[in-house]
Amino acid sequence: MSEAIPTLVERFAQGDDVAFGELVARFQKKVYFLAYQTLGNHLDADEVVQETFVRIYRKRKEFEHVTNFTSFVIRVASNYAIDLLRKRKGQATATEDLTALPATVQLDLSRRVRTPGELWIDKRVMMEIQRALDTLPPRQKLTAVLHDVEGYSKADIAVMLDCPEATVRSNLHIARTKLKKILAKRLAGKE
Amino acid sequence: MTCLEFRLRLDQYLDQELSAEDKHTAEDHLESCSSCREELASQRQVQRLLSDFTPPVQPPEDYWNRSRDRVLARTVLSSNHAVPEKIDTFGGHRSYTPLMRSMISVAASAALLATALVLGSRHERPAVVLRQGQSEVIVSAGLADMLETPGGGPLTLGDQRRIGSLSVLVGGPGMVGRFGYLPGLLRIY
Repeated sequence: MSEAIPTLVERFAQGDDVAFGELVARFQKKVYFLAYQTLGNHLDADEVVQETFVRIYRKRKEFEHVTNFTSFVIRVASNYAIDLLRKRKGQATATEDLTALPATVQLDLSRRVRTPGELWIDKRVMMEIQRALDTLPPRQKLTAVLHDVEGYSKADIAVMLDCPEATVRSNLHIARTKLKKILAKRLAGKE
Repeated sequence: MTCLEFRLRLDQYLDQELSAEDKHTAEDHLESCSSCREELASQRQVQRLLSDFTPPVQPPEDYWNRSRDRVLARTVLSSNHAVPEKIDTFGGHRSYTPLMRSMISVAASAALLATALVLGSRHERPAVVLRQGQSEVIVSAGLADMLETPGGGPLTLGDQRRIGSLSVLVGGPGMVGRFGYLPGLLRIY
């Protein structure tokens, strides 16, 4: 049976590197997908994963006082993603061209796009969503991703992004309103 | 409830954060207002799209092992060898003499050759930890299951650390990185 996260965090804080490896294995997908949804490309998402865990490793002594490891990880990843977003601002959009992907990746996509819900969302629609998200300022984008994509509560997001819950509500409202406008055409086409 | 009041509470309604009383009032308004019903429907659609959203590109499965290996190479392995966080081979903050550059080139070539030997021999014979004089060639965690330790068991991260500072770390397949050189240590990260 795999060890509980708090136990691994405790071992990591006490200097157990094997526990750190296990934490990386368990959390890297979460960080990667959050970063991908925020930054829109693999290379930046990969960089966020690497830097997040390197930073966490350096802060290992602080973990004796960390009660919510998930929030801490997301916070470190979000901060780095925001920095990268700002750095990328003005550069050409990094959203990947699906037509250039290897066949294996395309196959993988075809498995992932079938959702259990009533909607059939093809990869083109996902690209539209990604592009719509890419138009938002960093904090609005992260708030929308964390709340509406990843399903975190507003209270959790306030901790992760180190801001008042009222700011989370406000950013989420603005982000949703903008996304609705951007996606309106797509929605109309699908109805 | 007016349309403005409903719109101000729309997010809370969508996120099911309204009190029972406020929710009832909002639903009363919705019954009589087609404009707010449409607004609610389109916001719900956006929410549904977002909740079903997965990145349009998925990395291949072996990416996760390689990603973890690179993190460990930059953290656990680096700190055990007291290696600075990042080292550029030909550039960065260090200046190298021509002799040192040559040594680095030779060492890098040796590491690449060792990688080729390890990878090339994996289907030919039982894999072993290769030895080179006082140093040892070890592999990243992604290749650990292909090798045997001197004790006979699978190579673990702990073994990599135990092997110590006189070691050459060789990256797994697809683990592309730069070479960094320190006395007694060549690594890929």
